[in-house]
Amino acid sequence: MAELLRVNNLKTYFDRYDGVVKAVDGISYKLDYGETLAIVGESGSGKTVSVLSLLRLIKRNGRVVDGEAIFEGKDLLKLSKEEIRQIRGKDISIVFQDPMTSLNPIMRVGMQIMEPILWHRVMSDKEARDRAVELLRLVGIPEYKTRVWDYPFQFSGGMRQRVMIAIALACNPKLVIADEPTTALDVTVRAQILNLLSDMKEEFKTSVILITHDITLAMNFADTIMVMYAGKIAEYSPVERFIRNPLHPYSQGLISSTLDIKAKEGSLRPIPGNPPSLVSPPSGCRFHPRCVYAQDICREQEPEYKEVEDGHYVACHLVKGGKFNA
Amino acid sequence: MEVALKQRRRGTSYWAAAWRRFKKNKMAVAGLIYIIIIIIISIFTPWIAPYPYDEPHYAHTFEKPSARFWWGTDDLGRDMFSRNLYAMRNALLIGFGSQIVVLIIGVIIGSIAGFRGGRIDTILMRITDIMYAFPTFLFNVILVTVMGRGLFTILVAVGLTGWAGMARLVRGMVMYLKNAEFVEAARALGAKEGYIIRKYILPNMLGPIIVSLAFGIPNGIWIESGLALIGMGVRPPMPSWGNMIGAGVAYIMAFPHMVIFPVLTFALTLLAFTYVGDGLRDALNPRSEV
Repeated sequence: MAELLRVNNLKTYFDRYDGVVKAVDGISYKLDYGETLAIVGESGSGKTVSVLSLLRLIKRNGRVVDGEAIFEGKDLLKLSKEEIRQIRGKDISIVFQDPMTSLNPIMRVGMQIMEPILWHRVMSDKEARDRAVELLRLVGIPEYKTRVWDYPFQFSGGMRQRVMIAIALACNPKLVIADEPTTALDVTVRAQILNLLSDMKEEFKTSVILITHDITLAMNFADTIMVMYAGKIAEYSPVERFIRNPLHPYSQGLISSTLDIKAKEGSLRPIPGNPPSLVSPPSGCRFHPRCVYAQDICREQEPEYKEVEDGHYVACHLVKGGKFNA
Repeated sequence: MEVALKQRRRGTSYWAAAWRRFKKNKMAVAGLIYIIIIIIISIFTPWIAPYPYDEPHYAHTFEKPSARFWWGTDDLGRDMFSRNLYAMRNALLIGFGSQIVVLIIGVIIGSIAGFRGGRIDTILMRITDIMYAFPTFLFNVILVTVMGRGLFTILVAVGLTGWAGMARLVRGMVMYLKNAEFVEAARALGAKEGYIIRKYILPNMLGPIIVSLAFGIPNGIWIESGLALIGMGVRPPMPSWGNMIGAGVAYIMAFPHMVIFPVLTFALTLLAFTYVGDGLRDALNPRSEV
């Protein structure tokens, strides 16, 4: 498959009163056309910042320090403001976390679906209107023909997330970034939204970056999994290989800290401790204070992020020859 | 883009929904009708008033209401009804006019402070705090003394002392809206900054601004009458509710009509504006019930 996006050594830092927060500290990955990449990690691990940096949507106190992001031959981090604006929403669009606050409360949803189309002059007014109705049908809104001219407050949370997805798809983007699209929703609605996302992925042949903290969700949904910890990539792997053989102790910890209905009693093992401060991260491997297998080398030396099998990358001292040896 | 929206104006629009909520509040609707009537009357006052406001009838001083003088006459035999109409006209002029001044100053200062933030915000907001803390009425008296006692200068004075609340309101809304998630979402989907301000930030501020103005109008009328009552309002013989009530109070036992009519219209007008403001506040909240 051809490559759509390649990120090399991306670093995004935030200036704060007590120092520099290294929210994203040198990550590299690639994404093919039609591929679904799930970025998994705890709160504050840099998942969202790493993708917002691509679209240069970082708030004023943050800055992209280093790296490049080649999207279809262009480095997103070096484009002018106007050039990046033309990519936002047209080639790369985002589905935000909270559908309750991400829609303009005083604008009809149909109009909000049309907006990106008209901003990027993809089609005429009239075509855009037909497209808004069509998109609302595709994302499964009942009575879409009349609902398209309703206001956001007339929709439920799940329906609004469907509308957000319709907006993201309006311009037929090549890449959709879904930033925890189901976190703010009821458990019963989550599966629906995820199924909708995979259907839309098939329908529109887009690549998807799914940001989530739910590793089981990521394993069900994605082609590739990228586990982030404290601003760095811990493990990056095709999903089959990851399920079969998760190598990084953090990945193993994430999996064993999720509930499995068939699991035996005592098999639920949460990862002890909290994510570290990113102002002064731990020495060596950033995970070592919480790692049950930590050894001296982990405290002293930062592990190299290396390919252990074909397409399977891990940053851990204890992984040798494609196996985890504790 | 605007065209596309207007062609499909079926279903419920924001303003149609607001109007439906407003209609449920009976007092607000009554107030609105009253206000519309007095605005029309005020526009055509010179043609409606049976007498000029300053024409004395020395043979008919202190007359009780009659077919000739509907609301009676005052100590100089001037027609109370005509004077009341002119007083109402002045009051409305100052009520609305002062709020235009408030709107201009408040929105400019508030949005600069909100958008720019930082030191500019601190400086502007401290100035606003000083304005807010200063005794408004005293400041008005000073301003009117300095600038003169014309209708326009009173209007400007009331506006100059009343913008602090509006500036704070606008600043707060700008600060919230410029980083609101739906604004971020629009930015992430490729909206231009100008479009965001026109279509996202301004329309979302409109409701609270209208409500604030609606409550500001009776306040302006109140200050104007207060100034007139202590002899700092418009120059006699130009009538104002304040100076009419002030004059009438002296004769309240013998000739109560001289004070009852101005007090009643004054009170009714203030009440009407307050009820309309209440109704608007409930109606213009996009999060309230349909």
